[in-house]
Amino acid sequence: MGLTTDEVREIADAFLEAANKLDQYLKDNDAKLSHGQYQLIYEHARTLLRVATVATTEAVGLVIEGLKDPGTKLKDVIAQANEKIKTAATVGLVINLAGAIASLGGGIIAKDPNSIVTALTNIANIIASKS
Amino acid sequence: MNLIPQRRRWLLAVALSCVLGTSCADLKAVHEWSQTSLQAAQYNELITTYSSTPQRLLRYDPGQSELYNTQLDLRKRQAEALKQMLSVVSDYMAALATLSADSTIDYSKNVDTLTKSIGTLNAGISQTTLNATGSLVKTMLGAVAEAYQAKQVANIVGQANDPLQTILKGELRDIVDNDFRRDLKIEQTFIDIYYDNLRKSSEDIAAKDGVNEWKEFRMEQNAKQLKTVDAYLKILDKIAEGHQKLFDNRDKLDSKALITELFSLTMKIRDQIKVLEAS
Repeated sequence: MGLTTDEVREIADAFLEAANKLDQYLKDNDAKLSHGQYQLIYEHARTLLRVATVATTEAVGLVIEGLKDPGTKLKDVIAQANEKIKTAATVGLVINLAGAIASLGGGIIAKDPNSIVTALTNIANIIASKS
Repeated sequence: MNLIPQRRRWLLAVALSCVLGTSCADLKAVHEWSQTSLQAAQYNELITTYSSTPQRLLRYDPGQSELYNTQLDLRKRQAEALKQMLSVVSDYMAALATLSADSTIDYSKNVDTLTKSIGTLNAGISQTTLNATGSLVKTMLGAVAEAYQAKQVANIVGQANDPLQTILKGELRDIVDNDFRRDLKIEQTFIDIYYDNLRKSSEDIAAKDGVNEWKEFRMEQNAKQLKTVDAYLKILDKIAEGHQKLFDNRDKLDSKALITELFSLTMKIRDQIKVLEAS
């Protein structure tokens, strides 16, 4: 099932917002983060921005095959992930979440339905976790 | 008995009504507005900024040249299509500006030749009368020409309003407002995290200051480009608004209310063109 232009735009917006959340997290927690932790979150933020760029370019034509009900599902998941980043209690959780969103982004760039589904499942599990 | 053919009667009626001071379209406001809209529609720097974004992003995301080169190719093709869409708008505005210009139809030379010819007939007509005749004929023909121009402007505006509003309020506006704006915001975040990371990686205070200056410079450039998005959207809105007013008043193009509104819109478009030029 293909995505409409509006859905692609909302996905691009959601990835940009997620990257902005990570950027803010890096600023707010700069002193607390180790070099490795900082670099990991920084790399994930860059991946999210790449996805937002690709989605912007393909706002009209991006089609993700094999993903059921993609627009709503993606938007909801990313919105929840953004909320979780804001309220996360541990750095580990933020890194896991950022990594899972980045994997989702990688799947979207590669148009690989399997890795998209896996990434969505990971994100859902992390959101559901209590930490 | 019908001594005067219908077309001549129409011309005569228009000419007489104009000479007697009743309504004859003053198209100056239409001309000024369409000329200014043409100037605004020719601005396509925003499209160039959008199409070259992947090139700029490579600065902040090195090692991703394959991804960004692919994006660059795609965007170059998109830019061509967008520029063609804009050129349709500017071609239309150019046509409207030409059609509403004072100089579109000028009978003066023909009338001068005619009065000279009458003078050479040596029919006892004084030069004063000849001059007065020439002047009256010029006035009448000018009025007929104006009425003809107004009719043509009304026709073209009537036909063009729907497609023009679709372009100005639809796809083009959406692309600028959503995609171009997001594109610049993505770049803004890239600049932010890239320079923050660079600053964090350095221990040297002078190097940190240098990084801060570069970040400030890039952020200012980005902010200017975002301002041009806002200015451009205002321009699209004012062109759409002006054309709608023209459409609604196409049968009374010289109404004072329309002239005032077009003048005001022209000024507003010019203000936004200055913003574009300053960026």
